[in-house]
Amino acid sequence: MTVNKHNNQQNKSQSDCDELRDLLPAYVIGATTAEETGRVQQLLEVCPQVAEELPIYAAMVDGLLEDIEPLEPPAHLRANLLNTIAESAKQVPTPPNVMILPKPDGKSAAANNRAWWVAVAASILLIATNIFWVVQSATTSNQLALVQEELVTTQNQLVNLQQQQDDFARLVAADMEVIPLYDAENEVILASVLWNETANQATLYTDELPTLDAEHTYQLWVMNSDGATSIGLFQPDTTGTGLYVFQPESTLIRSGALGISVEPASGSETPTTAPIAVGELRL
Amino acid sequence: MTRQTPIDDATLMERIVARDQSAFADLYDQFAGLVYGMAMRVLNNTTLAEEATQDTFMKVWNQPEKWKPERGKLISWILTIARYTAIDRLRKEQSQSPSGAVGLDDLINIIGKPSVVDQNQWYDSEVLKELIRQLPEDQIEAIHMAFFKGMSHSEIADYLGQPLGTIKSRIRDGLQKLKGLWLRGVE
Repeated sequence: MTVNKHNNQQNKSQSDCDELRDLLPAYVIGATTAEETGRVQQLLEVCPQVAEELPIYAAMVDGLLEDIEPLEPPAHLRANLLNTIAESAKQVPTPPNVMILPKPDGKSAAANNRAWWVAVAASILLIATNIFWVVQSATTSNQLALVQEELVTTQNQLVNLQQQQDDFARLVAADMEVIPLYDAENEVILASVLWNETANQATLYTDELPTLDAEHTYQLWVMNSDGATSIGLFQPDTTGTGLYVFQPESTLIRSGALGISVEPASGSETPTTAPIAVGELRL
Repeated sequence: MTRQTPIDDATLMERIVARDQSAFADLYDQFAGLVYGMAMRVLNNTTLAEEATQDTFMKVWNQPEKWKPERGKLISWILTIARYTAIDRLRKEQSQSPSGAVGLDDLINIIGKPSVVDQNQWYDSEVLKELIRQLPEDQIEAIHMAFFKGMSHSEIADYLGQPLGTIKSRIRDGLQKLKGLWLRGVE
């Protein structure tokens, strides 16, 4: 049994490395889909001998980049550019557009609630400040269009923030279990499931999974001796954050493991790909 | 194009980090032709290429500290930004969602990988052009569509009316063959 398991692991490693060798050329020139990109980045960690080919392909990309016929740009472009930077040099630099949300960390419900409100308030202040500076620097119609885009994005982000706060507040109102889901190497937590037995509600939270293309989705499973049972489908939003709230039947989610796999957009009855994140259930 | 030595590029960028506008003008004069050429190659539209060129140089002006001499040539960094900016613009014009595949920082990290072989051969792009000419026409077409138009395997397959597996093979086999040709030339 041990020899077979070792052989199976070796075959899987070889197959992973073959898969990486196949995808690496397309990855280097940016031809992979989001799912393939994530897969390559995973496999680069486990196939060092294939990863050594990356710098060679990188040198080829360098050559492709310079395989360009230079063209004389319009004369006014230089003047416009130099005027723009001269104008921008007179203004205060735009503050960084970064929103950092505190992760659930098991503190008391009241402390977590306060943390969320502080995060929301700080984010609103930062966004308002960003909006102020973007308006200040808008001097052309192109820049005004960017401002409008920024406002729409900001409104969507605020809606997401409120939704996340509502979901999270319900969970931290009582005792909850945190189930981490680890990557294949069992080193990085890619997602967490926050399980509130009293409320019979659980929330999957992640900000580590890449967004997928329109043809694929993430699917959450509970896996035990009976096989894999689907819990649901979810996709990270444009900020890279994924939330999925579900009500597990308590008899279902007692033993085995939770797993996340990449599936076709409409989901699958059984996992069609290897799970990219797994968390053991110990409830 | 007269190629500056790395120390000249480093000096130029240090001045730009210090907000020296004349240094930025020098940078523009040195690289605008290639940046605009890249933008035109991707966009094939003078108005859009102008905008992409402007955006590229503004990105360089706003974050010059992102280029590290030890990670690669300045021209590679600037042209990677130009290519990514132009492809992003192309996808917006075509009302496509961002490819969501390899992002700009990932592209820059890829070209910044230290090479185990002498890269001097690549300083003459004529060498690469000659090697590419040895590839089958369909492989060149697929590689150029992916590299200069930012198209994924499936998008190229749909555009050419070919099976997805065929396009994946063309890109993979073409680049692997190019790698082999280049390594044989280096040995």
